[in-house]
Amino acid sequence: MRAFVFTNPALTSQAGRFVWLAINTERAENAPFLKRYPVPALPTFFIVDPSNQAAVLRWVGGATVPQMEKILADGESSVSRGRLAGRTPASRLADHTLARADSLYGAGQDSAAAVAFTEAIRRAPAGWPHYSRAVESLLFALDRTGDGRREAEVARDAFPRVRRTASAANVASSGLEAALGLPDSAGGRAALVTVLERDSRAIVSDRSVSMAADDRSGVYIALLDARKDAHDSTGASRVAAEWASFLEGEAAKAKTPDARMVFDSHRLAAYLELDHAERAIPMLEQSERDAPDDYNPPARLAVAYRALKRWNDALAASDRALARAYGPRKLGMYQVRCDIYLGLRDTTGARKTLESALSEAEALPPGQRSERTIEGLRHRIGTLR
Amino acid sequence: MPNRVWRRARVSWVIGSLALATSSIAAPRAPAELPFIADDLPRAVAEAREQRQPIFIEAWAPW
Repeated sequence: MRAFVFTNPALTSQAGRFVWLAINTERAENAPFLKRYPVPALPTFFIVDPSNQAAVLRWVGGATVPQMEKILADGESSVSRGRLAGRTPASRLADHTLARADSLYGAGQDSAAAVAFTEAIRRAPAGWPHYSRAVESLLFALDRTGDGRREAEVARDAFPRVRRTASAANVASSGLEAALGLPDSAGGRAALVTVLERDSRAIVSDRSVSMAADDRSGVYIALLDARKDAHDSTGASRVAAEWASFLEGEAAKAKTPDARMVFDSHRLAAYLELDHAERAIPMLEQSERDAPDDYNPPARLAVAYRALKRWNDALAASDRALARAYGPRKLGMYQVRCDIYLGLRDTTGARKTLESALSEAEALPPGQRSERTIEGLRHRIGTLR
Repeated sequence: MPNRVWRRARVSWVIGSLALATSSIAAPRAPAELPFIADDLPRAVAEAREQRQPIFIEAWAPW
């Protein structure tokens, strides 16, 4: 976002309308913030009313400049209660319900928020300007509550209406992923997968609609999963190759190292899918040279070398990454390091690595501490005894 | 873990979110960047109350 969106003059010209706060979720001192404002994925954006510090709007995931302009306008309006000045009674009612949904969503009450978003959409008149944002938030809330069937059905029904908007990618891919997550025996699963895969394919085939690159990348991930679900390895490889090509094209347009490096993680994931991790090595070595204090390039190099079974190179990259890392992110690096030791047939090293991870996981403050992660580490340590 | 988060985690764990946009909008003069306060909610709240403005918060991570 820093490299592409927040530096856009359309947004920087609004600098005087808000107080701008950036919270690095990896820093221990921000753990109380995470307890107060639920952050289910990164990035997450909030508009907060300073009078009571309530989040009146939350947006999960990346956004284009026009989407961000809408988020700012809606959030500002909500804080000033301006939404109730809608043009028509129907619009005012929908806006009022959306404000309630946003408030519930901002507080992390996803089930109640899903009900309210659904109600707002139902009440909205034709041409309601908040439709796309409401649908995307509804889909994510349903995702959080585990209601995959409704998520897929909402996405299927909403897609034609958002087809030409920046929301199209998230709607199609969320719906497809939700449909794929349904049990094979679920009635209607195949039909949902078919239509949502078709919609997702339409998104990656049509570059005329401006949307966040990670949203488009997410569509490739969903398409990849759909081909795997169909046991179509040839089709999956074709999607992975398209995905890598798309990301390489986006990276090639980058004007700065920072702008190029934001594609590294997705490119690595695509190369891993293609079973060609070696294609990531020059890219990541360049990134490590460009950003010598950043733990990400060596952490990713460790992953790539692990896939290539170049264990000693992987261990050296892991050393460099851990020397620079902090916060919950380190726990993932320990997991990679454990795999590397297992590749070296050093079970003791693997176990000690996980014990270090467990110790650090247990020491994280509330807001960053994850019982699920701790339980997973304990279980894995148990398998290594 | 929810579907979308779980599936994206396959990428983000490898590691990182790709929060950017492909759109570009040409526009005239404006500050080069937004004046983000780093990691200080109390300061942001105090300034927002004084200036009677809402707070925009970006929750991010360096991966």
